[in-house]
Amino acid sequence: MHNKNLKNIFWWFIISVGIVILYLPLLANLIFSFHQRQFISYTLECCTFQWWKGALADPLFISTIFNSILLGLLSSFFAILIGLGMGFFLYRIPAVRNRLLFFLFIPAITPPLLAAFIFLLTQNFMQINPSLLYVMFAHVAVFSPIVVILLLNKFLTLNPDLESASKNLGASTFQSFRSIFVPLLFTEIVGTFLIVLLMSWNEFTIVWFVGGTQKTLSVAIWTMLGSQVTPEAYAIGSFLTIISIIIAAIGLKIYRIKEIL
Amino acid sequence: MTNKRIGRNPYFPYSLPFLLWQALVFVIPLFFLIVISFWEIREYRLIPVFTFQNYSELLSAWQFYLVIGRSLFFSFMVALSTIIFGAAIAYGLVFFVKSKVRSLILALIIISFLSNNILRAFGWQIIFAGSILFSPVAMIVGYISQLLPISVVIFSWRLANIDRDLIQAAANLGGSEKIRFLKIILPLSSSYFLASFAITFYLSLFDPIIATVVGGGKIYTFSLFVMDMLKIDNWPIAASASVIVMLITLIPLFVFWKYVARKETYA
Repeated sequence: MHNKNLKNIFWWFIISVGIVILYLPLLANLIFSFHQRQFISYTLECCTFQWWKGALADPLFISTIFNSILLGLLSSFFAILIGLGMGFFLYRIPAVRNRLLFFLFIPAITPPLLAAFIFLLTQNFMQINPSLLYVMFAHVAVFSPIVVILLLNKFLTLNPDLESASKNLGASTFQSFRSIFVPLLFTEIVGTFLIVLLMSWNEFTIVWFVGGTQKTLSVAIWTMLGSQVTPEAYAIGSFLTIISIIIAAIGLKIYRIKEIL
Repeated sequence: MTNKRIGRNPYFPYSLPFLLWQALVFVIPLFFLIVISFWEIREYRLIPVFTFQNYSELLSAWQFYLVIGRSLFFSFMVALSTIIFGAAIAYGLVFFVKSKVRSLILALIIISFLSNNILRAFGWQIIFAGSILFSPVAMIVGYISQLLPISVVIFSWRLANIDRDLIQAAANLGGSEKIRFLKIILPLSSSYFLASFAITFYLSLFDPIIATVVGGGKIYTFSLFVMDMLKIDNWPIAASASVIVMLITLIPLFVFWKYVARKETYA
């Protein structure tokens, strides 16, 4: 009994260290957004809300958050649109699924720098103007495989007799797709939508390379922190972090992630 | 399945938008990378010729080997420590934590992955300032905090799906926990070790953010070299360096995947 307790303590220690490593830097950002002086000295002088007030009224913040929201919504929408169809196809054809699933991971795990470089080259070769529209195309390409993997997992939990039942009643493939599968997986689709929305918001390298003069919040934060580290930049960053955590929690909850893991 | 039959398949049209999008936006552009690696740059302009000059220039410079060697070693250390730490967390979560608490912790880990990488890097800058900032250890910690969720998710997904009857059977036959781990759990997750190793290795190899913010550019890695070449608009060199690194790293991985890891999978 004693031995078992000791073991539990050991594993809990490992897990806690992991959580601390993941959240400590985000917490550091939040704490230093209340720093009193404009220049960061890395010893906290507590506390003022003036940077938060300044951050939320900053014109750069207001213009980029609008860009971020629009880009995220559009990328996520199109990624879901094409990823849902692909997920349905792979769900129905297991032979293809087993062979193709490995390749599906390639766009999803391509390092952002390499992907951004590829998109930059394309932009130049094809004479496409740098804009968030092109970033949207790129984001859909990079994030739609994640949609496929997330939704395929949920398709596989459905009863396989559902479709044959609807076919027996005379429904076409599209009718059963639209009236059975999409409604059954609706909450999971919304959850996936939120997850991809966040990935698009927090993606930085591609927007930086091919977005041209149009910036998103991530790029604005990079520009601010890269030139002059101020508590205001930490405040904007912490704002983004808090919103991200809330949306991620909602997304994972309604996606029902705990049924998979 | 032949092409003709798949063309007539009623489910095939559902995959078309996805496949077309990937082909146009991602796969064809991937070839541009290879094409431009053979181009030349003269007086700040790209010249579409076919020359091996970029490759020979890179491969004849000893500094390039130094950068590549350093980066490969560094990413190897990052990937190794990330997967060992991630596997330990997943093992603890799956076998020692109640399922309700486990899914909560996993959600926390995934949520942190969905937050902003740049902010995490600058957060480490605050924490390490005055102590170990701009050192290799700081960089490794920075990378681990970015990549840990990937390996935790991969391993806990695998461990949760290992057939419990196998483990129970081994226990009934008198296998200790150590034996069960070495003879059942480890072999059954070997290809997952490879997958998470490869993903973390690549992502750290090509990541300029931590190398700039936490490493301060002091440890000159491959990703910083690519960034510098992009800054001076020397795309052909950046492309050929990327192609070389991909070849160096993909071939052993592929061989390993094909001949070692797959044989041991249980599926």
